[in-house]
Amino acid sequence: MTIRALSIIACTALALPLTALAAGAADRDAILVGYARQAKAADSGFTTFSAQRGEALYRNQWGSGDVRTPSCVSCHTADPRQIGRNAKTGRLIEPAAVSSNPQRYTDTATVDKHFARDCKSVIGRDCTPLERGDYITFMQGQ
Amino acid sequence: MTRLVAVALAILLQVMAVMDALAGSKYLPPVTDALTRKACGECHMPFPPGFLPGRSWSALMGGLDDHFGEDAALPPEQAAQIEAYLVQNASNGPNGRGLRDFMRWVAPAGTPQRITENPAFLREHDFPDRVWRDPKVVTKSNCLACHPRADQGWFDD
Repeated sequence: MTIRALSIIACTALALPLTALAAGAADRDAILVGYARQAKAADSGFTTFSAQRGEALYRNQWGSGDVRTPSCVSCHTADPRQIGRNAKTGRLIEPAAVSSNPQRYTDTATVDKHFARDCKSVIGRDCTPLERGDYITFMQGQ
Repeated sequence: MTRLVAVALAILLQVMAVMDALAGSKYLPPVTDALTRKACGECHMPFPPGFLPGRSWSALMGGLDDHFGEDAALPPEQAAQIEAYLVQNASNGPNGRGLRDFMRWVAPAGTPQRITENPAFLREHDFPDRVWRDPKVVTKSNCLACHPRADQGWFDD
C-alpha cells in the first residue's frame, strides 16, 4: 500500500468522529431553535434559554409525579455526567450530559418522546418548550 | 461463504437447544428485532418473547398507555409492528419457544402480564428481602442485575 493511500485512510478515520460530533451539535442546535420558536409563540417576552433555570428544573424535588421519581436526579443522579439508573426498572441510563454523551438531544423524535414521558413521570405534566430548551441548555454545559 | 455461515449457525443453534434442555432450560431466544429492542430497551431489558403466550403480548401492547403504571405509548404503527414480532416469537407463536416449566402454570386461556408472578419464576427466585432491596436490583423484573447475559437470552447464572 502506498503512503498516499495510507494517509487517505488515516485522515478519513480521524475525520469521521469529528464529522459525527459536528453533526450531533448541529442537530441539537436545530432542536433548540425549534423549542425557541415555540417558547416565543407562547410568550412574546422570551429571549434566550437559561442553563441556570435548566439546572433548577433538573434538581428540583417536584413531588407531583410518580412517587418513585420525584426529581430528574432520581434516575440521572446529582451529577448528570455520570451513568444513571432507571428508578422504576433498574436499567442503567447513559449520561444526560452532552460532554459525556455527545449523541444526546440530537434526534427530534427521541427528544420529544422522552420529555413527554419523563416530565409526566417527574412533574406530573408535560414540560413546556421553555423548560425543554432550558434543560438541554443546562446539559450542553455539563 | 454465506451458505457455510448459515449452516454453521443452524448447527450452533441446535447444539444450544440441546445444551439448554440439558441445563434445565435456562436459555430463551432474546429479542432480535431492532425496533422491538430499541422501543422496549429504552426503559428495560427487552424480555424474551417466549416468557409469555402471544395473547399476553397482545394485551400488553394494547395497553401501553398504562404499562404497569407508566405511560409507554408508542406511535400505533410501531406498536403494531412490535406486537406482531412478539406474537410470532411468543411461547405459543409459530417461531416461538416457551420454557416448559414456565408455560405449565399458564392457563390455556389465561393472559398473564407479569413474568415475575409466574410460580416457576418465584420458585427459582425465593430470596430473602435484602436481596431484592439491593439498590442495583430496584425491581424483580431487572434480570440484568444478577444475570449479566440475560439480554442474550441466558438466565443460567
